Amino acid sequence: MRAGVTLVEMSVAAGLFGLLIGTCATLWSTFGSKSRQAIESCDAVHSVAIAAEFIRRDVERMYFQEAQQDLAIPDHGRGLSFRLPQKLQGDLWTVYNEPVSYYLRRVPANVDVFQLIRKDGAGERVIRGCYLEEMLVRYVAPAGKSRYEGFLEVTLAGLGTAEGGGHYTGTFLLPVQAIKRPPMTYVPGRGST
Amino acid sequence: MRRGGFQLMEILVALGLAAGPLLFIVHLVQSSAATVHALKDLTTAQFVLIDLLNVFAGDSIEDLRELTSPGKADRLNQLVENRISRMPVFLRSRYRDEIRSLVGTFDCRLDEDVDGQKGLVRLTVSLARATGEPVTVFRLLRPASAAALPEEPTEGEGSSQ
Repeated sequence: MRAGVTLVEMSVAAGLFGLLIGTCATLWSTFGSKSRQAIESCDAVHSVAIAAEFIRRDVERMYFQEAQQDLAIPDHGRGLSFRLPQKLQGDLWTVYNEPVSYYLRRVPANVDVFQLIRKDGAGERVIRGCYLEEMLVRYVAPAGKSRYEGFLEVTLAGLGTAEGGGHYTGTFLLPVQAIKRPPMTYVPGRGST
Repeated sequence: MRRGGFQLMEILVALGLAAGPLLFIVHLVQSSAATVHALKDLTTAQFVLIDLLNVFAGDSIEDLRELTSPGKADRLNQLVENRISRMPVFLRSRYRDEIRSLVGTFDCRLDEDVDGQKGLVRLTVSLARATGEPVTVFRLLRPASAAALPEEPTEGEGSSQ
């Protein structure tokens, strides 16, 4: 009685093992690519959401009286500049409005991928985790009577990675409300009646 | 004479045991990717509806009543279409692809004096999705009356600087 393995058995086993490895490799590649696409797609949504929330947070607090004076949309809508009132310091009668700009800057490694830059008095800051392919900003006046002076229509084409993987396109309308100046109150000086 | 080699049945059982967990992992990866796409579609739907609520949040109570009256919700479809038409061509097709899961027409509802609070309204916008499950978003507002709002701007919706 032989207890060993014949050459045919070894060949069959090797063939089946190869088949198993091949199947595993194919599945790994197919589903790895699928899950990578899903992750990149999510990251692209993330990029758009981050960019929109940064801009929304600033636009809600912007100094706005009139679109022609208080809002600049340069480079055919690929940027946005306005002024942001700063926190009150010692002098309660003076409010500093700091210029804030948003614009795109190319990622050095890829000419079609941009990062969103926020520039204020403290300098430029790259919005991390946010890769964009395109940003378009428009000022839109409301259709009828509205408590808002207008809307900023921000359209963003987001990417999942700095290499350009994953796509997501979103468009947002950010309401712009004019700042109401409080009525000037006469403060009588010391000794006045 | 009995040989001590493998039987075909043994090999098949071994393969079955190996393939079971493998197929389970494949199923997990596939369902995970499908869930990601479903959540992305849901996020897109919510973005669209929240955005529409932002537009109407500044309207007067009279305008909101008119918007939510039967047959007037077409204006929302029109708004979305207007915005898509303003996009550059390459973004237009991509955006249409993003919102492909949104089907049907918008439904708008206004509940006034919510929780017995005078002047507080709840504006609800919902839209059917391809999955059959509708997505609904609402916002609590205190709209002013038309008389209290500033005059209409000279430019209509769609103008830009």
